[in-house]
Amino acid sequence: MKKGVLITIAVIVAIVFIVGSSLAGTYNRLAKMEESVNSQWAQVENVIKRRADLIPNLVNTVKGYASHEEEVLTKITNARAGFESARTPEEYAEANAQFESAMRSLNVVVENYPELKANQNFLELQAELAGTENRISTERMRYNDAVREFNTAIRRFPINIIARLFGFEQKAYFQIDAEDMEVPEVNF
Amino acid sequence: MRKLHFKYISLILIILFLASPTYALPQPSYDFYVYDAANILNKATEEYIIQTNLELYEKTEAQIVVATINDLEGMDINRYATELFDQWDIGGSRLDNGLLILIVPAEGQLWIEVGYGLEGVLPDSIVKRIIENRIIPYFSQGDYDSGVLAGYDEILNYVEKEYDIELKSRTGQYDGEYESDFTLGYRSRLSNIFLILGIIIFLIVDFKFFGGWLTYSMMRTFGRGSTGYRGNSGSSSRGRSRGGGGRSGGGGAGGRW
Repeated sequence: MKKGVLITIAVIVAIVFIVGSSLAGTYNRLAKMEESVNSQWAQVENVIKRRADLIPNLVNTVKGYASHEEEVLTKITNARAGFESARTPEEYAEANAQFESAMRSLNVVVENYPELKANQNFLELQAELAGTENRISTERMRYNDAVREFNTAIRRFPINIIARLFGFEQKAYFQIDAEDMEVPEVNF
Repeated sequence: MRKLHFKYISLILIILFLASPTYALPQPSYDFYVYDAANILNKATEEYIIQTNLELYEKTEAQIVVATINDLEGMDINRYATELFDQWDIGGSRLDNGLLILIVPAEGQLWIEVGYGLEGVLPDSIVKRIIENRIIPYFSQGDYDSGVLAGYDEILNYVEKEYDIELKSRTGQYDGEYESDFTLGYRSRLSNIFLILGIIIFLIVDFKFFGGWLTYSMMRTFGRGSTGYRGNSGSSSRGRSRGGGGRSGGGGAGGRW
C-alpha cells in the first residue's frame, strides 16, 4: 500500500513537472513573439514619424511658390497633427489615410506651378517622401506578418487556454483602406 | 492500406507545393556581388565590382551588390528589391550596411535599395540624385557598363567617407592580399591548427593500427570527388562570397530611362 502511494506521488510530480515546463516553454515562445510584434510596431512608428518630420519642410517649400493654396497646406499640416496624436494602429491608419488624401490634393495643385516642380529642394523632398512611402509599406507588411503569426499562435488549441491564462491578447493589424491601396502619387 | 498512405502523402505534397510562394527570387551568384542575369555587364566591370567589394567587406562588412534581371514577375521594382535584399542578406548583420543596385533593362527601370545602416550617409534624395545624374544619362544611351560604374563609384565615394577608409582596389592596387586575410580570420587560423593536429593524430593511429588503410581509401574517395568540385565557378580561384545578414526596410530610390 505504501509503495502504491509513493508511485502515485511520483507520477503526480512527473505530470506537474511536464505540464509546468511545457507551460513555461509556451509562455516564453508567446512572449518572444509578442516582443517581435512590439519591436516591429516601433519600426512602423519610426518610419511614419520620419514622414511626419518631412511635412513642415514640404509645407514651407510649397508656400514659397503657392502661398495662397491655403486649403491644401492646412490639410497637410492637420495630417501631421494626426500622426502626432496617434497611438494605436487604427489611429495611425486613419492619420495615414488623411495624409494621403492631402497629398493627392497637393499633386493637383502643384501641376499649376512649374517653378515649384523644378525647385531642387522640392525635388529632393519628393524623393524622400517617395522613399518613405516605400519604407512604410515595407515595415507595415512586416508588422502585419508578425501580428498574423502571433494571433494565429494564440488562437490555436490548447495554446489559446494558456494565452488567456497569461493575458495574451490579439494584436491589431495595421490596415489601410482599399482606396489607399494604390500607391499614393508622389510623382508630382 | 498502403495505397491509402500513398494517397495521403501525395495529397500532402501537392498541398505543400501549392502553399509555397508562386514566384521564386533568384539565388545569389557564386561571387555574390554581381548577378548579371540580363547579361549587360562586361567582365572588367564585374571584376572591378567584385574586387572592390572584397576589400570593402573585409574593412567594413559593407556589401554593394549589383543585380540585373530580365523580369520583375509582376512585382513593383521596389518591392522586388526589398525582398531580394532580404533573401540575399546583403551587408553585415551588425551594421546592416548593405546596398543593392537592381537593374531591369527590359523594363527600363532600376532601383537602389539602401540597408538600414547606410540610410544616414545615403538618404533617398542623394540616391535619387546619383540615379538621375550619374546612371540614367548612360543608361538612356544603352551604355550599361559606364552607367553602373559611374553610379557604383559614386556610392563607393559616400561609403568610403562614412567609414573614413580608402579602398586600394579602386586604383588597381589590390593584389588579393585582403582576400586571404578575410577568408582566414584569426579564429579560423586557430581552428586550422587544431585541424592539422587532428590529422596528424589520425595518421599516426591509422598507420600504427590499420597500416594506413583508412588514409589510402579516403584519399581515393576524395581524389575522385574533387574533379569539378568548384562547380561552375569558372577560372576564379576565389572562395564563394555570401551575404552578411544585413537588412533593409524599403529605403532608397528608383528611376526609369
